[in-house]
Amino acid sequence: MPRWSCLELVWCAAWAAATAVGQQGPASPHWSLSPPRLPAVPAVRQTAWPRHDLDRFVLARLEQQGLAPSPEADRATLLRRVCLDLTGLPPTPEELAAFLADPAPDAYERTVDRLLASTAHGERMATLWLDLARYSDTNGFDFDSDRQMWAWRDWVVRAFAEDMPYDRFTEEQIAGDLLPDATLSSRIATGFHRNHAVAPDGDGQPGEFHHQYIADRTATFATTWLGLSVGCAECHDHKFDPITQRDYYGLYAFWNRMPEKGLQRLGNAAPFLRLPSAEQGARLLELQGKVDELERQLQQGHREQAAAFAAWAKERCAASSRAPDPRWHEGLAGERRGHAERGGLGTATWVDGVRDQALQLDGKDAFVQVPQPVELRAEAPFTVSAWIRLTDDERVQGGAIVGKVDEAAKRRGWSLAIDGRRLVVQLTGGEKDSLRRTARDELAFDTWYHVACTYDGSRQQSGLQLFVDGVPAAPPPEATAAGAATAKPPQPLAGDLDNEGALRIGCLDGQPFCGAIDEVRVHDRVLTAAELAAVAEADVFAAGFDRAWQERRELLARLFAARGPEALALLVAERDAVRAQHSELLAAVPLVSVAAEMAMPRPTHLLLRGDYQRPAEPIEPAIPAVFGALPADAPKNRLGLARWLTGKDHPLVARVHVNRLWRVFFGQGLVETVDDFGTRGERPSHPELLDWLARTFVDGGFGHRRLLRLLVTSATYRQSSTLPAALRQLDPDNRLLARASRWRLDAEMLRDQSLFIAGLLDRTVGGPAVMPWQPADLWPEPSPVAARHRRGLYVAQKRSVPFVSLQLLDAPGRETCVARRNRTTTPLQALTLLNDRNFAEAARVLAQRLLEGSGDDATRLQQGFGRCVQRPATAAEQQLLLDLLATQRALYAADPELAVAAATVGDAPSPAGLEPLELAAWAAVAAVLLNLDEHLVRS
Amino acid sequence: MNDGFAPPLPTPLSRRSFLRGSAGLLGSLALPLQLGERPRPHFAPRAKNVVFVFLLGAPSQVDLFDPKPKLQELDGQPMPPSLVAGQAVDQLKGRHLVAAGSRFRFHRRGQCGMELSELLPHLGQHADRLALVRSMTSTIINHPPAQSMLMTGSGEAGRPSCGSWVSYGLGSGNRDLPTFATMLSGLPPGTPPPPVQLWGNGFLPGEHHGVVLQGGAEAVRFLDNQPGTSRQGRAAQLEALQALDRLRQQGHGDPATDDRIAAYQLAFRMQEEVPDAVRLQAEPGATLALYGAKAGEPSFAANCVMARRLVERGVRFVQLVDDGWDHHGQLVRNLRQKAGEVDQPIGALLGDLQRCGLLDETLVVIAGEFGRTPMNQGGQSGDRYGRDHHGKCYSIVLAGAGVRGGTVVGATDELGYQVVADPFTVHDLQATMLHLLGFDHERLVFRHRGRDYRLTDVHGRVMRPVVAG
Repeated sequence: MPRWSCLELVWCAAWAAATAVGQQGPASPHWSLSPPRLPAVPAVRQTAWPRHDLDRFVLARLEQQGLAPSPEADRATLLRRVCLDLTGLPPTPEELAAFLADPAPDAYERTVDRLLASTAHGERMATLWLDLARYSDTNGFDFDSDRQMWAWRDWVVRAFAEDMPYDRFTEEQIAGDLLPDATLSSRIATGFHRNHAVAPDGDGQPGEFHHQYIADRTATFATTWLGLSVGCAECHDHKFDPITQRDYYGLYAFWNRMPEKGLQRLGNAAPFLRLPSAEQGARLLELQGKVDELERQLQQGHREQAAAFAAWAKERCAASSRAPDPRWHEGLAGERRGHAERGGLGTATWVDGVRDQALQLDGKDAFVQVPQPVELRAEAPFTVSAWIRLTDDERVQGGAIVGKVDEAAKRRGWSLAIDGRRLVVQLTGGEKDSLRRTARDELAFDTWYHVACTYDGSRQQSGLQLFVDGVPAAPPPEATAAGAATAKPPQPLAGDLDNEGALRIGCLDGQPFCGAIDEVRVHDRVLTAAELAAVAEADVFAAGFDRAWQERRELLARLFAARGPEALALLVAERDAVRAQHSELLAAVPLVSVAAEMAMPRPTHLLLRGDYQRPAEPIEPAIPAVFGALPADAPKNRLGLARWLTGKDHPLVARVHVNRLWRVFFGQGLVETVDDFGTRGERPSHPELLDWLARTFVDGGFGHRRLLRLLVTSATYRQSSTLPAALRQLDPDNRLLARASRWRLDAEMLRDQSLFIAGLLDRTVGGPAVMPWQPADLWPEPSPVAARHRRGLYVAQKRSVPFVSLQLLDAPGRETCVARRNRTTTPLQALTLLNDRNFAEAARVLAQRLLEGSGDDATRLQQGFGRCVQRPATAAEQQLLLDLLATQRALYAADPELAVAAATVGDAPSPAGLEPLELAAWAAVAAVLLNLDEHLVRS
Repeated sequence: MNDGFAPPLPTPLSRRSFLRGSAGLLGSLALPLQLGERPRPHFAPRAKNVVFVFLLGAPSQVDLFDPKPKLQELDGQPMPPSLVAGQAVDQLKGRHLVAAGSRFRFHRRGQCGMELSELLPHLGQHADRLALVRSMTSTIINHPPAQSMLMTGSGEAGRPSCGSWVSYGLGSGNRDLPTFATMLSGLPPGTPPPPVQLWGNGFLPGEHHGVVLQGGAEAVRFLDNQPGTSRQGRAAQLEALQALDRLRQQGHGDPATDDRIAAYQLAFRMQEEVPDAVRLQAEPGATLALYGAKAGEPSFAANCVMARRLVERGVRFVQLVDDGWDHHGQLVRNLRQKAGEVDQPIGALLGDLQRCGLLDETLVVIAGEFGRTPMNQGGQSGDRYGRDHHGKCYSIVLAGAGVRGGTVVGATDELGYQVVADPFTVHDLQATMLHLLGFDHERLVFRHRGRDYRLTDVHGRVMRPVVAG
């Protein structure tokens, strides 16, 4: 260990003693497990220095060590410091001038209040919370598809900007859906627990992934609110902290009760909320109203035509005996199940079908494999039909109905399936060689439909037709004439369809089916709509007219409406068209994944050695025994957990949070291990101060603004960061706080600051993430130029391809919860700050800004210097920069082409009329200003 | 350093003087802050560097490393149910499990008579230098977590890569180059690149992040100046920057400013050193031909040449990730092609390292994330057949520093379904790597979120039969 000091030796001794005592038993619990009590404010000798009681704790400690605090920082430094700390942005020259000119004794306090009330403050504080929540805009894993969680991110920004108290902030995020006064906003807040990575469907063991999500939630919860690392108790009792494996699964159980699955096809994992804008909401309501009205008219029509309906049904019953026979027919009736071989790990059960019995599939990977399948060919016509009834499942809406596909041979084959509740047929001859048709209208849940596709053997997309209930299904809007004009014409099928895959009913090619399937038929020719109708009706009337009339009245009414009198058919068509508009609009509505509670919670078991395949005894949701138990009347769910956290005497929650905030403003926590308050964590440097802060925070109503105001108006905070040689020896890490600390700004702040100083920063708040420029091999398609200069907070967090400049500056990859970012200094950072096009562009645009102002070289230099570090350059500094300017001018004069290149770096527009040579030389100088050590740190 | 190309600067401060000025600084201040906390080796190391060849997607051990005549006999017949009933498979879920003999011949190679596939003639020439482990096992058979497990010791993303651990343990061998370098090849067009976590630093300090060296124009991210900035211009900028930072530091006295100045100087030198290290044009044509590499054409072979150049220059951990080994179907054609792409370069790399005397201090590991089934997937006929994911057994190869050459370790049953002797895991491989580098894997730890983390989690034992006596 480097740099031992007497001080540290004292701490080590104290720690060793505490650890030794702690090991003796529960009689002397670890310090962080007793509730914080309000300590007496210590007496100090230097009574003029403290501004708050907070300062007395710091000063008393300094006086004990025979040290004095540092003098107050100069006003410009202080303003820069507090602006960066509270908003992540430096002050403007105007703000600085106004502050320096304000003689009022409370000028600083008023500035602090203004900053605390700004949205920029919410944005700044949100970053800290996003790291803890492992916020990301993609699902992670190899597929890493996009998801929409930005509504949750914006909730965090707003919560900080509007000073939501920490107890409410906690309750909404843990159990915002279960609160008695739950709102849309509080439901969005629960998105915290849905930010973890989610695996793609198709390739993997869902149970393994699901366990991983719950384990991640449990660990993230414990680090964020308890400052404890519980991960090791997943497999065995914690070696050092009083967390048993039982305790671990008690916490785990709270997070194991959401209606969700281990694998996710694309986009947002359910459960999720739709968040229509006011306009979208109104339009959706309007469309729904239209649908309802048309439904009403249809039913009216049915009643009016009751007699006609009955006659129609009788006539169809008679006609149905003439339905054509299929070439192959797996009836799926109970007596025939011997023909099929059941496979997969999910369950398939027999339920009442349209005719006899149907197969009910559970949305896992169950399927029925047909041993002697028919082989369909690209050159030959065919018709495939079946009855289906979709089950509303959170995750799987539909799936594969029937098909024969060889996954190992580029998915060659054919399938009839439901995708997003729409019927779809696909014929595949090989890689990038397929025909596909999708129906426009979504099918309703819990309703029997007769679905079919016909193919004429022409190898053309036009040779494919879809039918629902014997009526041709309308194609989606983009496939209609208007859309087709711009789309590429579909290519004919090149390969054949025969393959070595199995003919399966249900799960196929990684698409599990959730619902019932009955009467799968294959005909070796194209059936007409009338024939298909007869095929369907034959099933409905199979048990005789009377039973069908009794038990299938609704289904018959639907068939009658679709194919009966023309007036009603028109109404049906209109209703379906409005429904399609509705679902199209709905697809454009933003989503956010949230927490929800299952009606019948999934049981939790202790898992032997953390292996999800080895469940042991069942475990109820419970807090770790070392904290006692939830009150008898408290709900044993996330709401009970949230209430426990926000109790006034919780030993950890306030301490952990206050300590984390302390780190934001003082560079390190009072407990240096902000993520570990357990016995292996560091002891607090100022235990009484930590308790005083925690107590003050809780008793004052958990208000952030109040606490932060206290921190940044303290005498401790206002000290100079100058490091005298004596302190450098005695307290190099500034644990005693005899000065302010100096540290490199966070990644996002470095980006924001450079854009801000160049005048490029787009201050738009919230909304979907943006993709600024980065090398094309990473993001081939960045956002449009106009949307690229948003704050770092809004840069897309893509898990598999992080925004590389932020990553190199220690922004975490958001794979797991991070409470403490690294602060490294590496050559790759220097390369980034100098050569990343985003930073180089900022330097060029700053140079433009300086050249567009008036004055001589020295005046402009001073302006640029002041913008970057909020103070004038000294004579020596000015001379160095003037010399550099002269050097750069000479270099560019010798190579005018180089100057033109330098004058146009980046995407931001270059104004006409600026001399490239001048702009290039000034851009080189501006880059130096933007890389000054003083600019990259807060001091 | 090559100073020859730069014309004299039209300024009082020449680039030469800047570099000279910086050289003194580099001696004392270039070390990152964390150096004081870096662990010291626990015992004398056998290896100083690692070249880790990661065949991403899981190559078929049955066709490359582990001959199974009995499987050949059973070709096309059902696998014995006693062996396979109730066992997890991936895409073969619910299918008939049919034995698939290899379509490739095996030959005995070297003095030791190690049996290797006809697809690996060049590797076979080095048989007496190889330790072939046929008894690797993996409990995970999904690609992303298994890949993460191989590189980081954990199936969950976010842990440090073994390259980062080595960087953390050994520190830099060349202060002008990154300690841990990664190169990619074989990416099927249109598919996402392998996840960055495979070379991520996790919770270790950022300096241990693997630096991706790219085959394209810019070898290291942001290495090149933006258009319009010349090397002379940059030198003048950095000289002014350093002077300004120094002036200010006299006031605030913060030693961290020294680190920042050193980092900028290193960056400037890397701009010259890195392109030199990866410049294949500097290699004799005969050497390139040996590897089957062409200057200016990114390939696995080119990456192997670069690996030797980097090891030569003291880069501690070179990771070569070659994608495209997930052969569910059309295995015969695909495996022939992939093996053809890597066999000659790996053979050349081993030979080249040997010639330079570097093989004695460089550990070479060749591994995928798991194995492939001895069962058929994708159809029995002709070329169409392939193999599914398999964790019960697979093979890896080690060579070089500290490795007992000409050894075959472990064995699988006669159908190549599971291990019957000396089972090992990825954690054992990691423990062995660290052992050869002079570290006890149980003691190379880093404190994070209240826990001492290590590469091998709570597992791992050194694979003694692999280690030379």
